[in-house]
Amino acid sequence: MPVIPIGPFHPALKEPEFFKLYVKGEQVVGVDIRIGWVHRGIEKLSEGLTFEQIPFLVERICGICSNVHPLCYVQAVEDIAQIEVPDRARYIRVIIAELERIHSHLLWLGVAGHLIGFDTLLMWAWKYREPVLDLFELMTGNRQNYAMQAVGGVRYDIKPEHVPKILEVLKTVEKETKKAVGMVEGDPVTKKRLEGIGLLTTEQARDFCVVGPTARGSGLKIDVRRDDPYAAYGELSFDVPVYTSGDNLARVLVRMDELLQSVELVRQALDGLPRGEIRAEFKEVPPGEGIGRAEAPRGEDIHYVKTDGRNTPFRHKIRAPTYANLPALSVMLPNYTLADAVITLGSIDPCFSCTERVAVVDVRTGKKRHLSEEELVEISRKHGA
Amino acid sequence: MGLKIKEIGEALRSAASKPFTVRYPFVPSPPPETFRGKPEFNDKCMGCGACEMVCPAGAITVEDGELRRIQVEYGRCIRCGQCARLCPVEGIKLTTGSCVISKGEEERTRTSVERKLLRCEECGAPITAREHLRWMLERLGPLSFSNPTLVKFSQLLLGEAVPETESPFRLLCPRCRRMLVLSEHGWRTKY
Repeated sequence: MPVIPIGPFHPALKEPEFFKLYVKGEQVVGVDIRIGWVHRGIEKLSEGLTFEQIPFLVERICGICSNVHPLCYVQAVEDIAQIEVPDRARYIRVIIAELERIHSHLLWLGVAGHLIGFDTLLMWAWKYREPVLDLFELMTGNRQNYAMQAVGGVRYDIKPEHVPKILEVLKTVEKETKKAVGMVEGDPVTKKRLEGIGLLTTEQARDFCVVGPTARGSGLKIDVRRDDPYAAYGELSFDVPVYTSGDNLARVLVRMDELLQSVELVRQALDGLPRGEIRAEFKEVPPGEGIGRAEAPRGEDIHYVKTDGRNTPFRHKIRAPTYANLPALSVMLPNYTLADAVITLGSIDPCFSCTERVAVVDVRTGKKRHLSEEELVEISRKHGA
Repeated sequence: MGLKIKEIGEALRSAASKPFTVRYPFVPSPPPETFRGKPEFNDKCMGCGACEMVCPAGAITVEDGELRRIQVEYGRCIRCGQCARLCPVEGIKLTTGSCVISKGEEERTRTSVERKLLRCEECGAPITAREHLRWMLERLGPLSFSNPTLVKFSQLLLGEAVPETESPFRLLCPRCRRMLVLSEHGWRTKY
């Protein structure tokens, strides 16, 4: 059996992955996925911190979803302590979460473009992602790790002078996203690289319990924001884009449509932004169990917190979305060429640095070679369809 | 075909416009006023050490030597702003400044303040910073008469010259205070 290990280490990841691809010539015939290579002990660390301190720890699980983890966590604690979050705080949570989705999807779009040799898309998407990060810097004081979520509300208010700037950025993002959709759909080369590759049927998606855009690209209409509304999502109207073809193109288009929905959501939230407090006081957290769910850009994120009356949690369990999406790669990768493996891996939007090192083993000769990320991307860009 | 024209149009527009990026080290790129940069102490700091307790990264340390020294290690600081938010007197604040840890100069990687300590008359252990006790006195007002250490301290502040032997109040650390109270109640003989 030819084996291509992809991975295992990259310190920047929350889910460092190791892929062993079994190939026959250029054809991938099997895949072996192992995780757990960089265990940082976040859950155990969290047991030693107070409820106020933990948001700063969990937002460092991932640099891209640095709002959704604290959001999940504070929802879990609010669930235990029955804290009523002020209306304004709930709307600000939506605004931050959706702006994060916009920047995450734009980043992903650029990376996907880069992987298939469409570098113009990379430059384009990242150019329009930059103003979104500047917005974060203006509103929260940092481009990433916004430190926005706190138990009982949010830490920073949105000032009236920020609103026109946000609207201006949204306008550009909306315009450019629509243009980028045209570029992906209308460009025959790009379309050929994505269409019919990395197929995940609806049944398979259901069997593997995939979440987020991966599930919605395979025809499963699931979205925590709609199914179990948190923050202010219950009061806002939005569509959940679903594509049924289950290939890489579907996953690209789902994300593009979501981007436009996020723009709409931020506009609605800014429109209906109520006045008032942004943070509810709480005294102590009683013993109990709580769950926080939120729709991260990559899918459903779950935090479970158990308390025993002290000011630190007794147990804190985290399930990040990529953990749920990874096993599906075992049916998405085989039967396609090695050159397509990269974009298929990328299509579930893992942190892509996991493919830093790749070993290719030819089944027929048993020869093994290791490929670096650059070499792998080179193969993808030169020998792709 | 129409798309190709669009792409060419974009390419021409991009070629004609100036670069999107800023030539940062050569051209200043000031952060917005709300930027969370490195924290710095000011004169209002009274040395209570609350910032050490709330820091999620363990970047703030309190050391009691000759003086009380509170230090922020910028390499560990995550600029969350909890110290500034929870400081009772706004003695520490986030600035918009950045700090390049890799660039030599030991003293630029940390900042600290030193505050005078009040010591236990019995064992010499530090009780807390003098300014901190003064702040407590101000906040407690008449209630501070319930604590002998605070009463003695207020006498010291007012400059009331009470002979050492005649004062019923002594400056004691919590441990010595407990021992004193217990022995007064006959703890050693009873148990």
